[in-house]
Amino acid sequence: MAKEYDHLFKLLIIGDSGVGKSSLLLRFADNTFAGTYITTIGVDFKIRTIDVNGEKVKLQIWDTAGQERFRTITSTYYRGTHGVIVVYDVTAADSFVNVKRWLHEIDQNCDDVARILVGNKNDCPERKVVVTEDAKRFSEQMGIKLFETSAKDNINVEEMFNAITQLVLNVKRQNQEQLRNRTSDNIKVDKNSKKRHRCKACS
Amino acid sequence: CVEGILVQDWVRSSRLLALIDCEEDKALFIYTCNKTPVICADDITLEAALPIKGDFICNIESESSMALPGADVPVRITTNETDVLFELPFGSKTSHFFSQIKQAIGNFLQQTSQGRPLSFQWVERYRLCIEESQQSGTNDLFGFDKFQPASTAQPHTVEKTPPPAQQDPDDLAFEDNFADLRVSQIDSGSEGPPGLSPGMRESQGSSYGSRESFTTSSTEENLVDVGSGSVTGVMKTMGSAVRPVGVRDGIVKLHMSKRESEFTVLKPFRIFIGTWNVNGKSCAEDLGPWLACDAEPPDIYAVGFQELDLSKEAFLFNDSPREEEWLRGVYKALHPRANYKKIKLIRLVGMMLIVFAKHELASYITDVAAETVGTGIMGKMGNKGGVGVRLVFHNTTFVFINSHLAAHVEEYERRNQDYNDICSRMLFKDFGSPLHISQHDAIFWLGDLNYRISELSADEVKGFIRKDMLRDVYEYDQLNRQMRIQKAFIGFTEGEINFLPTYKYDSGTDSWDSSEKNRAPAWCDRILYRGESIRQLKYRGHMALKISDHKPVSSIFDVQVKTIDEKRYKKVYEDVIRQLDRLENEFLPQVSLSKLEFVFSNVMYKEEQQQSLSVTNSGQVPVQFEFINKLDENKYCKPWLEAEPSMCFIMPGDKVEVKFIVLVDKMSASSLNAGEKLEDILILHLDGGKDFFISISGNYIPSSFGASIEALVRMHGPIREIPIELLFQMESDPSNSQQVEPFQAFDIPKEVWMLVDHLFRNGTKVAHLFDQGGLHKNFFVDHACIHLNLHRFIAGSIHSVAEALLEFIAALREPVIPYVYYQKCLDCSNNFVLCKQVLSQIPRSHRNVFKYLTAFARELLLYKEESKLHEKTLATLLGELFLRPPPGKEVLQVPPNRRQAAIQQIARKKASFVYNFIVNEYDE
Repeated sequence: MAKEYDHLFKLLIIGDSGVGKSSLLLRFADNTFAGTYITTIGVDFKIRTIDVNGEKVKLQIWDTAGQERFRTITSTYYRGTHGVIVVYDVTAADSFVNVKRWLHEIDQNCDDVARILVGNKNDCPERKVVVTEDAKRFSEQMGIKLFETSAKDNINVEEMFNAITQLVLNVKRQNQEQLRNRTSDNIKVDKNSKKRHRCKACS
Repeated sequence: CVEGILVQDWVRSSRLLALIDCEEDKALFIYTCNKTPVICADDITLEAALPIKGDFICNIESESSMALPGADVPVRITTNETDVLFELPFGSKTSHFFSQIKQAIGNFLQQTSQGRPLSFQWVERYRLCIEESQQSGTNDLFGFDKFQPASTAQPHTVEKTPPPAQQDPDDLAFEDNFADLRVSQIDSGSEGPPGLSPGMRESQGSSYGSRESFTTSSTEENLVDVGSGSVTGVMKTMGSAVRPVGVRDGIVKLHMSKRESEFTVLKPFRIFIGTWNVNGKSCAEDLGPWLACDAEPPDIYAVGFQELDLSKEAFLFNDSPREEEWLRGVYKALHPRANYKKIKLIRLVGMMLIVFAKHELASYITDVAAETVGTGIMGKMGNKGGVGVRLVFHNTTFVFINSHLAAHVEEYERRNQDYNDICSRMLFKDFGSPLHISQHDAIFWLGDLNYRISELSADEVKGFIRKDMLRDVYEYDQLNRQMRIQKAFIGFTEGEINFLPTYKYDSGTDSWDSSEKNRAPAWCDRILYRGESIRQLKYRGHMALKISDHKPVSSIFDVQVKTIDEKRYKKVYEDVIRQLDRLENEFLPQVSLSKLEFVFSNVMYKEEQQQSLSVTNSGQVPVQFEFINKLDENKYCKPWLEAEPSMCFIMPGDKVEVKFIVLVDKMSASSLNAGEKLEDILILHLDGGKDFFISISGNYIPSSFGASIEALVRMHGPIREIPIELLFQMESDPSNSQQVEPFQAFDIPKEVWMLVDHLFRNGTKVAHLFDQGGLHKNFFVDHACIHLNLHRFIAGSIHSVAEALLEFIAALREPVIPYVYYQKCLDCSNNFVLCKQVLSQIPRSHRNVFKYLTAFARELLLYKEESKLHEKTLATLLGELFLRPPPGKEVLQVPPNRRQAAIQQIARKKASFVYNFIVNEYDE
């Protein structure tokens, strides 16, 4: 009998206030876009189940308040997160500058987590101030994938979430692999030590 | 009694509801079911005992679910402390239970109106039990607190109804268990058997002395023998299982099947159905003329045999070498122009059914299952009955039934019965709920159905047949007649019969039975079908096969099968998943808040301010909210703040007002005086859902309450006139006074002097000066005086001035004896010399306050007669005020059993330290 899902992952969306974190979530989970801006005061989540290479992945995506004054509280929500989506607004340079701080925040709060950088509001070339090349250079420096999206026009949103999910899956696979190697290493070590014991006894 | 299911966050758990009475008092007991079905008392744990009194309300909820007959009935039970929704199974038991509760409520009201209020003391005892067991953690299910907010519950009612005949057998068994338990309990003395639920233990353990317990257990007796009219329910239900995760899978399937037409394409496939009663013969004949007589190879074969083996072994052990033999015979004879794979073989004694499919189609066949039903001797044995195979081919469900029904001309009703038995007893399992034959898209029924020709003699039949008047004979065919009057095979179709009766021949020939019995020819062997999109192409007998006394029959069908278009399937599937995700999101708990930021302006010491927040459940599910702690904090808010209630359960559409209360007292004043801001962020957490951040802010008007002695002595004017920055500076660094100090410091804080002076002038002869709490209102008057530093008559009663003094001393940021000297003072409390030494070390302003207050105490003691004060009383009082344990050391590190003694010992030491200075004149 089919299971409800093969994997359950928790994703977290962070970034400055007003960069469109909630809009990205709304677009991805409900395929809607609300023109009006409502600040998120708190944390909210939605779920969506997607298919990645035939595996059912249930995503629980947490949207956090971006305001500075909530920074210490929101850091609590990094716990148990598998992937973090760092969002900036391509029309607001400040939000891009702050990405570094957000990445630092991730390092402080999680260890083994997949990350992705997202430049949102990429739907109005005239207003764009963070040029793709700069963002690309930065993301390569930091070793993170970059996506430029528009929640409003539904550009690249699906692709971005698929990509982070794939990254999370990779991390999970690697961990499982490592675990397997480690256990097999242990077994080897055990064998060796036994052998040595016997040698001592013989001599 | 009713058995129920409590649903929490999509997880249902059983509850057992029982109406228990004790004389006139009645109470509803709710038990959790540790395991289902409930068999003994160990399986249930008392979770709540709700006395049926004034606040007990039990109502049937919304009309919506009542619209469907058979749907569960939502019943809401509310008391002052509880609000739960159960869903009780629809039926007379529930309605009886419900009416019993109504009766009990009516009874309560009647009793009360007659001036005989009911005490419910016996219920209290159970409630204590619950509390105990929940505290001790033995009851791990979940505490009542949690239970209370749970959303809906679905008890399935098994009401006890008076005539025992109406009770379910297991219902009785359940009560028997109760009866047994009671007996065993009494045998084992007053100690309850281990493992009894607390409630049970209580009711039994106490059944010795008290009268009410006795009646309680007699009530339980009523469970066994109802009828007596006394109200009693015990419920037990078990039924609907806990189904959390699997739910969604079922829903996906349901939605997919609803939208099947969007992703399926009908394609015809050819089905061959064959049946033959082989009369126990071995397979010594080529079956090709029967199975492969058409030009086109069929896609699927379903071949049935009857009387495959008439041996005793086959009958008794269902073991037959013929199975293999005939399988090989069939396999060899399948159409030569295609390769076939055996999908399933099922045999019951002599009835065997084999299904083959073309090799290349086998991968499209899934969910194959086979079952047998015996209807022979005793109605159960396998000499007669049916075997069936079901499968899903592409997206169309098929079932093939091969049956051998009762024999003999006159037994047609028996045959009808066999048919009905097979229909009701043939259940294919492992597919969620068991599948009946009728729940398939294409149904093929073949076999030796044994229906004969009625009313005509053998010779008459043969005569018609000779004249090729088969149609006339068919008029007398029993199956034809039974189907026409709808006694059997309702909904099935049979093609026109253009072949000779298939029974009974002399074996090895084509000639009719020549034995003495001279049986009339009959169409015993038939093929029927049911389902849309089935087209019969051929229906025929095969005279060429001669080894049996029956001739084989076969039929060819074209069936329009729903094949899946993978691309479209994926699209629809994703769409369904998406919709479900959306639904799941919609069903997350959701509330709307009236406000997210609260500002409290000009908060003053000990003056409470309130603001309220309305929380409306704007979602579709019941919501439980709670203010939760922030990381690393042990309370959800700052000490000067309180949310009331801090946890609550709201039904959809309902609204709750949460009060935020800001109150600065001696615990929180110091840090606010020292510059900490009146700011906090609360996290309002929805159980299973989102969190809201609620900002609280405001400004605190510094007060001399909570200030430090060092700062106070340096303030000549009222504290409010000190620039706030300077105040913060003085408070945050009390020792560093020089630069900021424009004045000569006072010896003691002027507030202390004012209060003491007032008491000295007006209160030395007042009795019980410190014992009687002053009126709260007066306290604020005094309080304001101190704030404003009024050097004039202090209004209010003398007692409230005294109270203000104590409060002032207690609120000092650092106690009169600074924290670092706390332990020293305790250690030397019985030695006045050492005490004096310690005192000489403490900062001067502190020492001054100490000296001043002890001197005042000595002054008061001069008027012992009037003031009714005593040295020891005063010493104890001042000891507690002067000596406060340093922050973080308030809790003593001693075992709980010695804690009380340790506390008393410290109090004594504190008192004796001060006592030294009260009874002795002290000067430096």
